[in-house]
Amino acid sequence: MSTKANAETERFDDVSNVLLLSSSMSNSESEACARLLDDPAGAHALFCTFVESPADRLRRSGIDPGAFETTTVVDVESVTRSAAADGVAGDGSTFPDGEARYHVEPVDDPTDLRELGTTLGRFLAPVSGDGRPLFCFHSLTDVLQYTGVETAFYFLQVLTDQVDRAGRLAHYHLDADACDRETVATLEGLFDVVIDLRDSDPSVQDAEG
Amino acid sequence: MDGRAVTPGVILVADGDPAVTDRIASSLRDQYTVRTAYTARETLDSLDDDVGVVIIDDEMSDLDSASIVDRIRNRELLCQVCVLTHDVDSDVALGSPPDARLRKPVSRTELEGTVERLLLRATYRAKLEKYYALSRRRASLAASGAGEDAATLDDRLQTLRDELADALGSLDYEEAFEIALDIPENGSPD
Repeated sequence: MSTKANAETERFDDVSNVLLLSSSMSNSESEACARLLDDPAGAHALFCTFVESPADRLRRSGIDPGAFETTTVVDVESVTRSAAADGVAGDGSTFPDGEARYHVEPVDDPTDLRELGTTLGRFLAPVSGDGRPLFCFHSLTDVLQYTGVETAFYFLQVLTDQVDRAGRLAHYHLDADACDRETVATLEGLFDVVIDLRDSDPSVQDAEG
Repeated sequence: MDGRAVTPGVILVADGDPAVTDRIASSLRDQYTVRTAYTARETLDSLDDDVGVVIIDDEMSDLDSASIVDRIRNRELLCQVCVLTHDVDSDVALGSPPDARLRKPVSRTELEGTVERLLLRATYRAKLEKYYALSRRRASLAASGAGEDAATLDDRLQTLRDELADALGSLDYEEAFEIALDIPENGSPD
């Protein structure tokens, strides 16, 4: 039993965990990401990035980190990137007065999901604020490259439960072309909603069905 | 993996002193199914997927507790291990750390609290593995287009989802990640 609805008009009031399936970083993926991070006034935002630097990831999401009550980026794999890639003048990481627009929390070992989970957990704890707390995880493609599907599944079972308990609206990016169909189908059941951006007409599927 | 017990509810009590073994076993029998063993060999022989918690003395005559813990881990059993010790700082550096340590003599309250917590951990892990195995099977059904068992599987998956959420409600997230990702606790006893 799956319901289909237009992603543009779908509301996520009763949803905690959304799987965003794409084929590559396309416009529709950025749009969907931005939509799931909509209405930042008073909200606390948490990001997790692997390949891209925090500044690049925030830019790709099309959001202004300064518009949130707080913005935190858990930065995995930062050691493998050039140190100069981040924190340079004009990259948007600071306000004109030099104050940081967002907080970066490094996680050095991308294979250590326990460390990553615990770090994310610290920032996922329930927070007070006017808006609903938000979470963008980019991406499951990277997690699957570092660990097997079974480990990724266990990691996500705990993470999605925590997101749900904290009342967050979270979405998780996954490049469906980078893994086999069975892997995608195995993971789908962990999410409340699956948005498949590979269709020209984006659809929302009820993953619980 | 699909064949594992989803509720590993048996407690295995093993102390070199039969009187201690029997005293601990009888105090747990009101609530749990309990097995007893008096040697390390008997302990290892008695282990299977139904066992959720093993309580072992750190002074078994035929094998030290760290070696027993190592052998349990090597067999990839899901059971949680509690070591009864005369000194909580003993054998810290050797082998795989147990999931809990209790100093002898153990109070009934302490014992019951520890068993309950370890059983919750073992049960969560067993259900999680089952949930993954069934999700995998459901995914292969979807891929092959066969739909006969899909509804049954979906029901079982939903039940497991609810049970896992219940279990996680009693665990803090650090502990949950530790159990889910199956990485033994590091270092010193708490």
